[in-house]
Amino acid sequence: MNVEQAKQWLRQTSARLSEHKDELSTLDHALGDGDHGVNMHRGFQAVVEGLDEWEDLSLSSLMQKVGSTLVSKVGGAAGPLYGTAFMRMGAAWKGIEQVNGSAWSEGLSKAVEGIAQRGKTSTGDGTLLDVWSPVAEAFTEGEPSWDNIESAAYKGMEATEEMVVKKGRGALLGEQSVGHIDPGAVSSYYLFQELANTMKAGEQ
Amino acid sequence: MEENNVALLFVSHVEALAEGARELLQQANPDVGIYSCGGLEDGEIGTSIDRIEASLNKIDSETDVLVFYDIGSAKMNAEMVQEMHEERNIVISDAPMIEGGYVAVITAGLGASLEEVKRDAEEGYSKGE
Repeated sequence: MNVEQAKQWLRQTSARLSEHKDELSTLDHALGDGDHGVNMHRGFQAVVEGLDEWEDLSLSSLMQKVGSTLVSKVGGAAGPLYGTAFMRMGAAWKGIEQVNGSAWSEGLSKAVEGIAQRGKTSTGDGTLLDVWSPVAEAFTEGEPSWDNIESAAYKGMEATEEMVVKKGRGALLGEQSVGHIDPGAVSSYYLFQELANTMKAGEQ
Repeated sequence: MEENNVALLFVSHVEALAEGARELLQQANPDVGIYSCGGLEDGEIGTSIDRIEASLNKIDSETDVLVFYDIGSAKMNAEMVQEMHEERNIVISDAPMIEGGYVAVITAGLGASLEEVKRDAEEGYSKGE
């Protein structure tokens, strides 16, 4: 992925999140405060608005900007979590203008580490980390298999439905939290599906 | 205002709630620095690191800061601001805003240190005193 593809990815993600804004908020009503869709839409809209201003940035600096914008604009818990993830990717990609399989692997494992620290959470807690972590593991050296990555994201998202939620308001419900798919996992799935779409379009 | 060692900062998802906490507790001791930060720029419900940072900047840079928060992401955002300002002495309390804040304003007013105020806020509020 180069900086132009990254921008394309962010634009497509923003469009996707705005399309699914109501769906994400409805999912969030089950165990959260019902604002995930609105929050993510607001955050990524601010990112897209920033893209024109950030025209000359390196890939690394672009990711850092995206991160700090999400932290500032998203509002809910997703802001610091997504924001930290992008900032860590940016830090991992210093001096890299074309992200290959091992750079993805490195960037995403730093992002996963960041999400875990910030949210004091681990995989299996029914959060967005259950998507980010398997996606990070799906990257191997060489050219990434985008179909594998998309399917890792999808499986991770689906798995949150069966989990007892350990974080956020859902955690107050214990066993009763089972049966709800995590909205942060869904928005993360959209993010990675749009990444795969962007990258596959570039291969054709 | 800043004669005491410790200022209190209330971070809430709702501006009126943070401001209400400040108003209520300021009554207990008008000499303790109490600051409030709530909601998003547009008045919507949420917390924002930009706004927390702006509130922090209103507090004398030599004064220690004890942060109280309401729910969920308020703590995460407060932690981010804390990490961004390592040069300052900022501590986040898990005590309930009002009950813990009440104990904190009393002990801060007596000139207690940041650690003492935090400890008293977290241990003292449940006693109903």
